[in-house]
Amino acid sequence: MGVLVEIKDVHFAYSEDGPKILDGLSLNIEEGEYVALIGQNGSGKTTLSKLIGGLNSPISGEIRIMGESVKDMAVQRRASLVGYCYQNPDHQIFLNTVEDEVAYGPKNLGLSKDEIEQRVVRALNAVGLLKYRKEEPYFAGKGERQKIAVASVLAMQPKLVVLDEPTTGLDWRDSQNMMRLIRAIRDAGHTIMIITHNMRLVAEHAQRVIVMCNGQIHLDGTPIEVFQHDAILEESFVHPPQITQFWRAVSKIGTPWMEARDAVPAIQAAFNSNH
Amino acid sequence: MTSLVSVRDLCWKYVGAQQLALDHINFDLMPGEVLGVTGPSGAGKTTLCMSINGLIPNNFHGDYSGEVLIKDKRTEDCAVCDLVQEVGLVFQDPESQFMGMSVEEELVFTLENLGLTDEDIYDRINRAIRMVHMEDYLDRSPFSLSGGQKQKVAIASCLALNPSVLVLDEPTSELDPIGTTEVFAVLQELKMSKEMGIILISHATEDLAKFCDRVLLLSEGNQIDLLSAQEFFASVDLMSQYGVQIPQIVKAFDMAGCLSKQKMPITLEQASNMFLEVSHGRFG
Repeated sequence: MGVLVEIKDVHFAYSEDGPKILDGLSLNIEEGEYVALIGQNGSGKTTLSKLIGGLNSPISGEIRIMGESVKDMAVQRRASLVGYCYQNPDHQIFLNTVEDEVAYGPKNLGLSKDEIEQRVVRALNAVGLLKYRKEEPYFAGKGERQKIAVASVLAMQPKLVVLDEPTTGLDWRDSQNMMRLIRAIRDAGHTIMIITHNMRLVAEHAQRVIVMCNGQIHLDGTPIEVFQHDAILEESFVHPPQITQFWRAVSKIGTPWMEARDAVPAIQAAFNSNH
Repeated sequence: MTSLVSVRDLCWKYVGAQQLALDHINFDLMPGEVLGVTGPSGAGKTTLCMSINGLIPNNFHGDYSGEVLIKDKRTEDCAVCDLVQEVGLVFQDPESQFMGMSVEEELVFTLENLGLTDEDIYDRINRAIRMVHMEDYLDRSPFSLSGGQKQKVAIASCLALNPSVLVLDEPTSELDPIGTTEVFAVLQELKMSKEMGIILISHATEDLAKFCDRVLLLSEGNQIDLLSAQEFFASVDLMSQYGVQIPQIVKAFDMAGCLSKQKMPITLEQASNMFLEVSHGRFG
């Protein structure tokens, strides 16, 4: 597995005299990684992900994907390397049937009818919506529309799938389903970058966590490594999952707890010895 | 004490729908009480909000039976301009309710429409904006604010009407952690003042557990249960069955199996205090 995305000293602002959104940011993402980008609103997460997808260009610095500079890449090439799922699926969906929506990207790559059909079937199968291929995309709830948006991205077979807040507005069951789907996409060989405020999902699913604040990276490591840095998390306005906060309050010994089951032995030891 | 809100056998079906969106809902809300409403998507939570402030049945078409009473008056018999002064409604996306060019205009709008005097309008605005700690933002465009600030302006525009009931429909689901903390700080102060009843719809159960007195669980339009926060959040099987996120603290203590439902901590603070007391040998 090699480096998929290389970001070198990238600076970005939305206007010449506007505030710096990214301020000398450098980062490598390896092929096959599952990365969560976290930090408060305005910390630069979405901007960074849009630069990786080539939707905006940096003022200075460079972004390479598989060794090729994003700046010099044709749109088709970029779209087959990076798939970008918007936070609100309704910003992405615009066609009248689910299958047309999913086929739109591959059609624009100039692929054959057979190849497009294969990709649509495979992508809709992956998200469990194949039986709805002839339906209007607005047939169901937000969870389903979110999956249609993910399928449209999968049909492009990108190396990197970027998902901007994929569980916002979903209930817990739909959120869990979405996270299982993302895990499956990763297991099928894609590299994943999610942007989210849900720290519980980050701790349970991501392999690497990058904490952003004021356009820079403040922390970068596994969830266990990152959620130990109380002071830096505080400065970056990130609250760890409830169970990690519990560990901070009562234990602070050994490895921080990331999931509920991690706290069970300590709870049993404390309560059983006193009852 | 008289209820602020009484919902009696409320049923509602939207025009053209096959199923009831609300099917025999019953509850009361007392002054100073916070009622959490949760349940999976499509449970009828937003429909319930619109029934409390009278939008249903007064502004929607459908089949309605049962009744909603706000301070003993049936919403069906009340004019919208009277109901907005009793029930404030805050949406998930604050921008969907903004129409003013400044925070001040935003707050003035509804009050002007009620025909109040300038003096009364400015008294109410100053009081409402102080309650959400945004006195310095009256000249700013509401669209230039952070997510948490926007939601606080939306809350202030309801508070300016001096409502008896504040209904919030997933007010923090689109906010980052700072925004969520800011909004809950304001809600906590409103709760402590005991002046109004609050109905809070949310999927964020770890926040609901901290903040609510009772919880109403809806699913597919049905009232599944109405329990105290302690009973509800200690009911792990009930939450799993209806796809409600179990707070991590509850999940951990349930898996450990050392405490009964009645003693189960449901918030981080409770859990930490109990754990430290036990560790020091004082609990039992």
